[in-house]
This record gives sequence, C-alpha cells and structure tokens, in this order.
Amino acid sequence: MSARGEAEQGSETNVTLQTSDDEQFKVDRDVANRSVLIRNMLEDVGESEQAIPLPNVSANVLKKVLEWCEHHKKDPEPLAEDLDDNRRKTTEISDWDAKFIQVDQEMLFEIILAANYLDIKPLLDVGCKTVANMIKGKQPEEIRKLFNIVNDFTPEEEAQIKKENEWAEDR
Amino acid sequence: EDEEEDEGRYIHVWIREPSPEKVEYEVKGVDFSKVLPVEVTVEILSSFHPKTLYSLSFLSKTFHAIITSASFRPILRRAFLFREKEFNPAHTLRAFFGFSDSDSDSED
Repeated sequence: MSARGEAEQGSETNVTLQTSDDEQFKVDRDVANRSVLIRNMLEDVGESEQAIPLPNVSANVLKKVLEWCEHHKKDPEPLAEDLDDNRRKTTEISDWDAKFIQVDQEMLFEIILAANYLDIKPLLDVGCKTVANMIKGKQPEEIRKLFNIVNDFTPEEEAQIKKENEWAEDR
Repeated sequence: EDEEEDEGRYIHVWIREPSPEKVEYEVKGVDFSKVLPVEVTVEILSSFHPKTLYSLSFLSKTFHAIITSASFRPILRRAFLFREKEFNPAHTLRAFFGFSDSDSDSED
C-alpha cells in the first residue's frame, strides 16, 4: 500500500493510542515501537487510522511512559542475551532515567505495570532496579515502613520458620 | 470589648513543611508484592544476595511465598553458582529455598 521504503516508514507515520480513560495520544511510530506489544500489533494490523486501545493504561501513566519512549526512541535494539546479562550485572541507571523515575511510589509501580504490559523491557528494567535500590542496605523494619508492608506472620509462625532454619540465622 | 476577645482566640502556629522525600515515603508506601505480577517482583528481587533474600522472606507471607516459590528457583540457582566461593554455608541456605544437594546439576 505504501510507496515508501521500509526504513523510512518508521519515523513518518503516526500512531494513535487510546487509554483506559479514553484519552487519545498521537505519537511517532518510532516512539510507539519501543513497546513490543504495540509494535507487534502494528505489524499484524498494518497501516491503520484506527486508535490502538490500551485498556490497562491510564492517560497520566501513558503520558509518562511516552516521555520515556520519546527520549529513548533512537536507542539501538539490545540483543536478547545482552539484555539478560546486563540486567543481572548492574544496578546502575542512567542520569536521565534516574531523574525520570523520581516519582511517588504509586506512579513508580504504575509505570512498572505499564512497562510490563506494553512489553518495554528497558523501562521495566529501570523500574525494577529503582525498587531494588530502594530496598538495598535497609533493615526489614525500614523496608516495611517504606513500602507499607504489613508483617502478617504471627510471632509464633515466624519463630517456627526460623527455628526450622536455625543454621541460616546469623552466627 | 467583643473584638478584643476575638483577637485573643487566634494563635499563630508555624508548621514545618516536611522535606519532599519524606512525604513520598511516608504518605504513599505501596506494598508492591500485592500490586505487581509475581514475575516482576521476582525480577526486582533477582539481584539480591541469598542471605538478603532469606531476611526479605520474613517481610510478610506474600514475600515469603514468592521467595520460596518454584518461580524463584532459577534466580537462586544462579545466585548460588555466582557466589559459591564467598558464601560458605551454601548448602544450608539451599535447603531453606527448597533445593536438595542432588538438585544442583539438574536442569539449566
């Protein structure tokens, strides 16, 4: 249908995305392609004027996610095994990403959920590393406080598990 | 006379504004183990040392269930392989996470 070459097609077409709260976002195909879910949908559907529904993402979260996609639209595609290795090796986050992800916890986990749903691995990675860094070096009680985690073990249950694993307790 | 009395009722209070980080942490803590899919929580915890994971498993029953679950095994196996040398009582922690010693060369 299109006379343009494959390579050119990427940056010139727009894609419309529709959020769970019925807002529409028009973005470059390059930007939308950061999401493997959307990329696959576009490949299946082909050229279309129709908005792509994203029933799991609300407008305020999508706005934030698209900001990330826009900034990273020219990133080279990482190789699958590279990605896996890098993810394990480092807990470092680039300055831009670190600043981007400085949001309240509710938004942080919304972004992580959206990145998981939209299949944007590098963004999911930034989110997961951020949470890991928040946990790092803290005592369990501090972690509970930070994330509002309720200890639902009874003292007896906790003692029982620890007793069964006495060898693992610090010595 | 009335006016004077009224004025006396006002007390000026200076409220110290908390720093932004404090607001973030104290007001909106989210127990992500209950919000995120298990595989994402596993991903978050994947970089921690087995000993840390052992202590994290006592955060709550949900954390305990995730960390001792089968979906966590491949991560732990890797963590143990990676740290075998610095980490002496590996076999004992293995038991906590549900491996037997004969387990170590199967799979993967």
